[in-house]
Amino acid sequence: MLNKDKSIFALSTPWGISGISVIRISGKGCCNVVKTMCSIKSPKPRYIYNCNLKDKQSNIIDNIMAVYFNSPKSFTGEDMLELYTHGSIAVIKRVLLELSYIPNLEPAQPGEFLKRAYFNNKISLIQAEGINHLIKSETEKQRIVSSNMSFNGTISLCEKIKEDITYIGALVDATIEFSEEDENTQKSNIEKLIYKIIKELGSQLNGIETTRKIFNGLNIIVFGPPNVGKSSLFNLITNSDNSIVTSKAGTTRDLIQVALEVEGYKVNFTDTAGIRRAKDDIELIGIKRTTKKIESEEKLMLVLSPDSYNKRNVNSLKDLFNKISKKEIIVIFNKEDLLNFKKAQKKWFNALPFLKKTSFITTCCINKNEKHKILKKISKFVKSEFIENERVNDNNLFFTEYRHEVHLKKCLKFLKSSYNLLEKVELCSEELRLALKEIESIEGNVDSEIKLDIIFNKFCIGK
Amino acid sequence: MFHVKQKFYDVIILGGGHAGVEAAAAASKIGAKTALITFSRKDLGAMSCNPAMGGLGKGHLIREIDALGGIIGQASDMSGIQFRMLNRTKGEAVQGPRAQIDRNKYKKAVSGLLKTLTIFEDEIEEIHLEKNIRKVRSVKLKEFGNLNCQSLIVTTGTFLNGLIHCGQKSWSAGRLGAKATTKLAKFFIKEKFVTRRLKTGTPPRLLGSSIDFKKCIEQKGDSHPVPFSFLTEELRLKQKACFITKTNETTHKIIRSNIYKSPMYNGKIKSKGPRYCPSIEDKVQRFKDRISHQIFLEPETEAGDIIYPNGISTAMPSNVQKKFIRSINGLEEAQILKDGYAIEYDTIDSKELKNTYETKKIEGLYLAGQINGSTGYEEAAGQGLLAGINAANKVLGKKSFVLGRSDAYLGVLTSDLMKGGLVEPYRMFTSRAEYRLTLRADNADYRLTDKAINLGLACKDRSRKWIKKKKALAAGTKLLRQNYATPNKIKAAGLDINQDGKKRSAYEVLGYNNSNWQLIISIWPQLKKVNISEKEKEQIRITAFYEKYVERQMGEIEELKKESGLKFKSNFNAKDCAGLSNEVKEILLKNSPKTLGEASLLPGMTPSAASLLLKHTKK
Repeated sequence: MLNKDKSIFALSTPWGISGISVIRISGKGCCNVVKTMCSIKSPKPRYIYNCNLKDKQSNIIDNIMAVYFNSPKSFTGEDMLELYTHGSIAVIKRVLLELSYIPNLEPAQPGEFLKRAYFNNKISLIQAEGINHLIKSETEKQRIVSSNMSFNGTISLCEKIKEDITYIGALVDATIEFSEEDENTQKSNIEKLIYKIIKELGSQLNGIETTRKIFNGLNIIVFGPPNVGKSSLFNLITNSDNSIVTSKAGTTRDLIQVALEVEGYKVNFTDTAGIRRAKDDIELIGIKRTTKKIESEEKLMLVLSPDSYNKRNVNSLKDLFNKISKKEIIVIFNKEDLLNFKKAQKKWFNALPFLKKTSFITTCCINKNEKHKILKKISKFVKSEFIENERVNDNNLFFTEYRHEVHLKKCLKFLKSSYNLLEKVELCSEELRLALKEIESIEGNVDSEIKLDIIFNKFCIGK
Repeated sequence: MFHVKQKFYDVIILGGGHAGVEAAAAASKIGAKTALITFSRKDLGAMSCNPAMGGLGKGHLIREIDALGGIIGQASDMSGIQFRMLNRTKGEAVQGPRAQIDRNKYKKAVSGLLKTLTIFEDEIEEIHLEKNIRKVRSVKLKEFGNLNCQSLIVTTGTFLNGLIHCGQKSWSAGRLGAKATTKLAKFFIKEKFVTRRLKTGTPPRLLGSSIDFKKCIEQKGDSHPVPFSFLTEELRLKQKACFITKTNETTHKIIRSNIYKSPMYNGKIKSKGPRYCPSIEDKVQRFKDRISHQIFLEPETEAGDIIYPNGISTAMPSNVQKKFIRSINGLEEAQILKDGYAIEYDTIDSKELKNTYETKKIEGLYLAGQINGSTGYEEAAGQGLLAGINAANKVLGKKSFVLGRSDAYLGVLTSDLMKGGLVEPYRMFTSRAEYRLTLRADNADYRLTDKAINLGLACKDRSRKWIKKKKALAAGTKLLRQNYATPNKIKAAGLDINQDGKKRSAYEVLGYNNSNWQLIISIWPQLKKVNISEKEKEQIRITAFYEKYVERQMGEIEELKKESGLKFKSNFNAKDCAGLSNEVKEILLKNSPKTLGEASLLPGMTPSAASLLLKHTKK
């Protein structure tokens, strides 16, 4: 719920030491702040003031820049004030405290500026969702999808789909309203047009899966027998010491996850406990989790080493392979510096013929120079998921939310049934009307006048 | 036919066109003391343009007006000379009854139906208001002097500052051969009503005997004509054929080379005409790639002596009209009886109206018909009926009567008109109704006749027939719902349905595509004995067929109603609602609605403004 009488404020830049910090205030309280803290009586909108920011006792807190925006010409549509202070934790703290003394001024809730912008009709729901994603974006691809949503891409697409459906509706209605006329509204044309939108929506629905993966990240699970160097590999590619590395088998017991950007995509690496018969209960739980995780994810990275070749390890991997034979696996033969490396590699191949079919590399994970070799393989994974997969074109990804999916699916359902009802024009038109409503639910409205407009501008009609 | 004329009336109606006669009929039926003022009694129910009633959307309106006790349906049935159900091959929801009408017989029928009405053949001079309040008090007639009234319904059609154009010539008139109402126009200007100038046109009329029909394609009416009115048992007049011919390249050449003589193209007429009823000049100019346009030769009378060439409305000078007409196949020798012309007229912006058709500015003053910017006999009649009901109800202290978009085409008409700001004459289409599958011509009585009975508009015959029909429909439906069969059995009868093991009721099965009563009886022989007429059986089938869609629409309507029930907060101020136009804000401030529903019914509200308000109330 929004309370119009309350004004809100928040630090809009991160909390910490920086060149400048921006504090934003939205609502009628802005004037009060400008007057009391900035000593500006009637601020000129969109004008940059340089002024001293003062506390209640008129002591100078900081010398700042301030911009005032008058309603409705602001981000939120309300009066807004932006204060640019020095990026000092102490200054920020003091300013926020002083602001909280001002009546009817409250710290903003998360997303409250956006929410106000939405309710004041400055942005659409989709834009609000998009900006929200944009702020949270970490990878290039996340940014691209968020930009599509925030800056008109998604809205234009919705508008285009709406326009198309409205146009088809007009064609169908023309056959109803002007059946007496000898006008040329061919049914085959209508059929083609509906089919085209069905295809477009279908690909958008597929795209949602991709956008979801772009935001959630592609999961790659590093697994293998104990003490093959999984954690060393993990630390090498994630540039971290997140996983503890010892020479003791069974060191990693929990799943450890780190996110990276590869080829612009978010990738989540998970280090897992080595697969063997556990020595204690805690390790057992870790191994159970590992096998579960391996079975649930698509992309796997199996690490093997010469010194881990033994019957027990071979058998436990054999069991696992039966369950994961359809998944994409990269095999890393680690510790290539060991003497019997080639021989051991052969043994692994013979014991697990399945390995021959996978793409594998040999490396030594304690050597930092080997990183690019491994990353190259990971890029391949990413490419196979996102790029080689035809459905993805960054510029064609517009929907992210579950809400969008629900409406798109319903829209598709109505379109399909309109397609099947071409012989029953009035029902076909009804399904089109409902399809349109679903897109409208994602954003906006269509007046029935528009439909008629299209009919008349397109055809010569009139008895 | 002689009535003692008095000086005091509850409701006075100005104008005897299609809006006026419905208003008068409704007001007097409800029990208000009613009088109608017209230039000439002979013009009561005159059809000044095409000799046809009904069609798509329009036929729906006639059925609804009839279901509410109006006269247009019966009068059309008494004078119809060719009945056709449009879209007969399409679903019932988009079928519209239409008929060619003998215009003289129509006028006679209307006069007959209004036998007991008090009529003044006179001209309005002035409208007087009460001294201190803005309320109608009386009208001053040229001959008869002052008449007091509580309510006044103005239905003057195109007569308000009417200006006829024919070629270079133009003159003041209401329609060809009738004078315009300029004094009334002055009243609306004085009272600062927002007016808007619109245009319409009509084709030349041809002498029937001068046309070579052998060269044209004959178009017959339905072999089993269906009447408009739920009361009509039988159609009496002989059915006549129409004929179809078309323009050709010579015709177009003549029009093009003379286009500068058309007042629409030489700048004389600036106001906008209806897009769906373009003049032949417009058609030729706008659709240059078309080498011909269809013309329907429609008889204006049973005798067939006057022919209305539908499709070539024009305002070309007389000699050009003659020239291009004679270039058309079958019309080589055609004699023009009356030239075609265009007419410009003033309309009152319907934003001036409440949804009862009463003006906001002046209490007791109602406007209905073409004066509100609509076009068409049916649209006018519908408004006349609603204005008549409300004017009478107000005088008698009864509740106002407003139909919504989900109730009837009449509701769609009202709510569309009340949005105001029409840029062209408003005509009904089925696509204007969101709930087209619910608002069918076949179920108008089901939707409205109970309301008519409550309002006192249904005569005994209508009430009796409807109550009997309602009972039969209910009994038949109940029986169908009580009988079940397995999908197996249904399939055996020839219907391809999902073999999911779920039993279906006879009602459900009757509603399937391609289902019918014969099939039902082959599955459930016991239903053979159902004691209802064929017509009622068909009605049940149509209802069953659309029911699943209607149910879905009902859900939507419910949702809308829930939203319209949303209350504004006590501190709601339209000024705070960003995104609204200043105009809408003003409307809200002036009327201070309590709920979203009330707000969305306010004239001048747009759907997008309503959705902004919805967002505002939800936040």
